[in-house]
Amino acid sequence: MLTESDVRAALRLTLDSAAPDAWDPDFDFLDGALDSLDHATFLLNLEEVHGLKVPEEDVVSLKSIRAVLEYAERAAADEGT
Amino acid sequence: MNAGAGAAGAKTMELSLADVAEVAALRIVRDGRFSTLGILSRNTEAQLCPFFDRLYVDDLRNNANLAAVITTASLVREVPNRCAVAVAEDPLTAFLDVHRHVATIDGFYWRHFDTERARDCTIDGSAFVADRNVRIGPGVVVEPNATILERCVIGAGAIIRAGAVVGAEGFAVMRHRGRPVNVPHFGGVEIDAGVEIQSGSVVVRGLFGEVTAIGADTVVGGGCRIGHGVRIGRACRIMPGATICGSTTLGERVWVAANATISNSLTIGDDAAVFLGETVTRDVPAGMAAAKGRILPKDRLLTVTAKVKQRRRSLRDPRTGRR
Repeated sequence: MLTESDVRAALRLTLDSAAPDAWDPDFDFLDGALDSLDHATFLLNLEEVHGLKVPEEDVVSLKSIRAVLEYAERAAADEGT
Repeated sequence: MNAGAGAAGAKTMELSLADVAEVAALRIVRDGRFSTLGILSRNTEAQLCPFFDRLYVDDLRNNANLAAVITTASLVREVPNRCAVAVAEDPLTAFLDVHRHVATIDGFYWRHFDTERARDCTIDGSAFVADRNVRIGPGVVVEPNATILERCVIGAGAIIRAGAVVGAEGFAVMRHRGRPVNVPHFGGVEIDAGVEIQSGSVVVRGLFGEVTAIGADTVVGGGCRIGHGVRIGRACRIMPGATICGSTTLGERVWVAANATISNSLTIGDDAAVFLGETVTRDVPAGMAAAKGRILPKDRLLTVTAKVKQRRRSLRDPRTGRR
């Protein structure tokens, strides 16, 4: 199961910076912190390392640490049903 | 010497170590022929290479095309029996002396010819085109202040924009008599049909006999630097300010974004992409993208990036452009 620390690690890797460690879980990182290419590489990292597949239509909803965790939780639940 | 009768520009000659022994003070241990020069990590056919440090012994053994070696007395036993070998006090100095010498032999690196311009090409009066060893094909356009130096072949319909330099000297340092020197470049450039080299770009000629090659319909944006022996496939897009270092190979339809730098001797596969400002130091397989220091699936990366961009645009106030 994807954890908050996994998400922060993927963000750190994307930005090559420790700044995401200080972000509030609800901080909208699409509001200037990540550009479109950062966001895409972040999501592809989650897909590659943690197997979190994100269909194109859901991409933009994953804009905060909490949103990513909730999405991963729902995806895991859907897989289980 | 063993000279053939190839077409103008084509190299056709083989030499033996004995042919060059005097110019580089070589002691021949086992004579044999070679048809070009190079370094051990390059696998060009029938090469003469310097071998001056045990550090490179794996390259020496793994180079199946190695024909002849200049080395030291203490390293000579490492050279495979299939290779000709000569000993010099300083193999690098001797190698560079041979390099300079063979460049003066017509037909070794290049067979000389008077410059040929197709009747319907358009060359601006302020452009410089060398008097020999340049072939300019039909429909080529050479804009003001562009420079085309020796050993360049420009294919039909290519455009060399204002101020571009084709066939420039490049950068390759070796030690000669203990001092670092830039190795003179004696190779050429081949630009295929329909290529466009935009303003201020520099295409460096090959280092030894090889050419720097740009495939048909490729566009090289302004201010790019294409290093010696680079091979670029068809229909690539090299955007302004990109640097492609020596001996790197790009496949077909490769897309290199502005200010990216691709290190030397790499392979970038067909349909690969290198994103804005990337510094690439490893191969990029076909269909992949180098972005943010990583190698990712190109199509997926582009799709996701486009989605995010689209979403951002939709959140902007149409009047102010702000979110």
